[in-house]
Amino acid sequence: MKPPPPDILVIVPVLALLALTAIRPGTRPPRVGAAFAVVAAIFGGFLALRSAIPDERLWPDSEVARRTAWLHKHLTKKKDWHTRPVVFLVGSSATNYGIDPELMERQLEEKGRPATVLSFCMPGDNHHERIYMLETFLRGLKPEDRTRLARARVYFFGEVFDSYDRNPLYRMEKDAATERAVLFLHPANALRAWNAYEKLLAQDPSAPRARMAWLLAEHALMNRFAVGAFSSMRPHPARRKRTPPFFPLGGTKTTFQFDEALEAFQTFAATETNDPVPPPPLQVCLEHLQALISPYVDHYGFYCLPTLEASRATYGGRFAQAAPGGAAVIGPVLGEHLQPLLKAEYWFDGVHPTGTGAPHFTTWLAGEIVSTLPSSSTP
Amino acid sequence: MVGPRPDLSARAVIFTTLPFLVFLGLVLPLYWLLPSDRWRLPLLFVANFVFYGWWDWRFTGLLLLVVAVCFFGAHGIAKGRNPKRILYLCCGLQLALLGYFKYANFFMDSARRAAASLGLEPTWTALHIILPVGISFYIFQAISYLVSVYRGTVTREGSFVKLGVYLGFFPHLVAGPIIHAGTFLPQLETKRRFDSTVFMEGWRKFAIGFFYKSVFADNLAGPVDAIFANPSAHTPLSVFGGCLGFYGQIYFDFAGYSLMAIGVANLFGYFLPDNFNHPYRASSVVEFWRRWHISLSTWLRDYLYIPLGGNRGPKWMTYRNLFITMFLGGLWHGANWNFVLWGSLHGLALSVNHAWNGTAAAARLAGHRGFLVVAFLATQAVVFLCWIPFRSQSFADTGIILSKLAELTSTVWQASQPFPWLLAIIPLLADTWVVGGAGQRWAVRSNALLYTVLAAAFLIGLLFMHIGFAPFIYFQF
Repeated sequence: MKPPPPDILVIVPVLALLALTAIRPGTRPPRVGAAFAVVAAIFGGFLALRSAIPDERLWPDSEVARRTAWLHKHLTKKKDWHTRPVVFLVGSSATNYGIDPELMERQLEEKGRPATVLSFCMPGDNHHERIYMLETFLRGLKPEDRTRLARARVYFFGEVFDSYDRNPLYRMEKDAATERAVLFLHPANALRAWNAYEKLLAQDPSAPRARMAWLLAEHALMNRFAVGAFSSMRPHPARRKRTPPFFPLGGTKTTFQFDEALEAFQTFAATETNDPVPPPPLQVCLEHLQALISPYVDHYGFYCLPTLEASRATYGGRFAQAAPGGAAVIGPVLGEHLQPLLKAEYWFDGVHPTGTGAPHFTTWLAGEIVSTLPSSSTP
Repeated sequence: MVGPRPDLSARAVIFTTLPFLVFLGLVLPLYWLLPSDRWRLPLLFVANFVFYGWWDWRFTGLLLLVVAVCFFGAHGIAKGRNPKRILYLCCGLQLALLGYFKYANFFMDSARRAAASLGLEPTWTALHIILPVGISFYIFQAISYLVSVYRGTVTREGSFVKLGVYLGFFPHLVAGPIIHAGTFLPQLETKRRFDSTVFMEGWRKFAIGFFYKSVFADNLAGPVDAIFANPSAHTPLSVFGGCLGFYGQIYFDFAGYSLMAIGVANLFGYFLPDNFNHPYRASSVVEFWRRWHISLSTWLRDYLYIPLGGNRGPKWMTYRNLFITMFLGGLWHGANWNFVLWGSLHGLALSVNHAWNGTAAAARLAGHRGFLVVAFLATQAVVFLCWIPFRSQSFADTGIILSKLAELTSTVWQASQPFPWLLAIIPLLADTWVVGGAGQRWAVRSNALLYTVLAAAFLIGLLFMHIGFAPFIYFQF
């Protein structure tokens, strides 16, 4: 049993409250213009100071900060790390619960392709949160490590799911006004999100413009003013925990029926669809991604993890058609390729593997990655 | 027993959000730039409806209906031949609206359960009714206005716009304070002049309310909710922490909202009366109700307790009137038996308090320092315990929590989850004993310091405020 957290910083707002209750206007009437000038000066000064402080220092307990702290340590734990290839797995909950990066490292080594595997994954994230996580990771590296990373051979593999273009507003609103959204929607990222959304608006003018604009502006402002950075009332320094990026799931979701899901999926797999390719936001998102990581990445690839959800598999197929030239797309997995994974105890639900299934999913992905890697893997 | 509380305010304009700041940033300068009240009042009238319509534009019609009923009803009361009948008709209509939107499902559900327990098979089902935000507040104000006109304590308002500004004044529209017609309507008759002292005082009150609500109440909400969601899973110490947290949370939440409302009214040059006066300093339940939600307790006293007979009859009638008043006061808080239990317990406590006040022992002990301490502790214990059914999900949970608290002395003091004890205790102590005690005598007078403290306080408030959506607890009432 851990002791309760020392929420001692509550003393700061309490002192501010006492100052507020004690202060009164002077003998002359206050001047509103002067008051607004002081407010503008203090807030302006804060903004200048804030711009020098990275988010992970203001919100050291955020999921991104904790995960990137683990990734930094994992990447640089061996002195000659930059002589081995580095694999970036950038995904969401399916990768987070289903792919064990350390197991994958061992399997890649066994297959003669040793590499350091870094998993940038968070349950429920979206494209812009992925971008934010990569930014935070790169910013947190020491300058010499950044240089080494740029020289090392880096393979990028992004998990394919519909965060790239489907319901972008829904995905933003899902986390709206949470710490996660305040962090990843910093002004530059909010602008990127708007940039991608505009492409959708061009196709579908009925999509709500004001709601998205409002949401992004609000979060960008909250980010700049560090809203809620001390809401835990706990002191910050050196409190950032390292969180490994793999969380095996125990058991199966109570509402999930494997046999029914499998039957529905097999029916879907047997039918032919003529779905269109993904709309323009996908291309914009990929451009954002490439602009951020192209100085480091030598090879791009995407993977559709095995799924029993028809919509995800369909999207995977559509994505493969629209993927940028030269990028390998692994999956979607259908037919006999899916057979070894079709055991009820492997599936938490139609998307996420259980802890028992995760090693099998990891083995599958490691094998697929090895088959798509270029023959030379030396820097 | 009790269903989940509806998230009524999910889209309401909340004082601590950017939409409200933008709204205020547009309306406030425009209001003061207009040359006279002739223009300002229509602006406020429209602003009230925009503010209310932001939540759900369909309900602006309901607000307009309430204003219209008051306007024509008061006209009929003042000029008509049978003012009493018109008063009953108008008040009945207002109460019918309140009853339909707030209590229809509650009574239907209760009747269905009662019928089922008698072996009957009722066929009626729940209606799909959305509860309009703040309906209890503006309906009570409307009744206050009609009764005041009938009693002759307030002159009938001849301007529909002014009446609309009074009933729908946006700072207190959705969660009070409930403003009596006699307090507000006269302010509409005098010309508003920009007074920088009042303006800055408005910002100061808003800032204090912001701290109460966004920093103290909202940060307590998470740990408190976690414990009340499943009290049986927690140790007695954690359950005690949850109860203590809620004791602070509800005060800071509602007092914070009231202060922000009063502050915003000041920005427009209007004055709203205080709604809280450090209620956790009270050393009797009677005193507690003079300090807690003053606008509601005054309303209940003037329009329910006194018409019932007040303390004019024999003692048992006084106790009966107190009990009925608080029973209905509990029901006013929500269509939920937990609130009724809370109100009834307070009615009982008030009756006991009144009975005690009439004894020789009370007179002998009055002013005795040791007795005051005991009375303070007993009062706060009653208030603390009464909040448990108020916050619990069901009567069963209330029972579990009380049994856990009873185990406090006999079990190992171990928390089942981390709890922010300092956050639950220090702000309460500071507010109750420093701000509400010696602090009331302190005052530093300096304009430069005022500006700096205000700016720094808002900044600190932003850094420490809770991230995430946290509606005001009293929106649901």
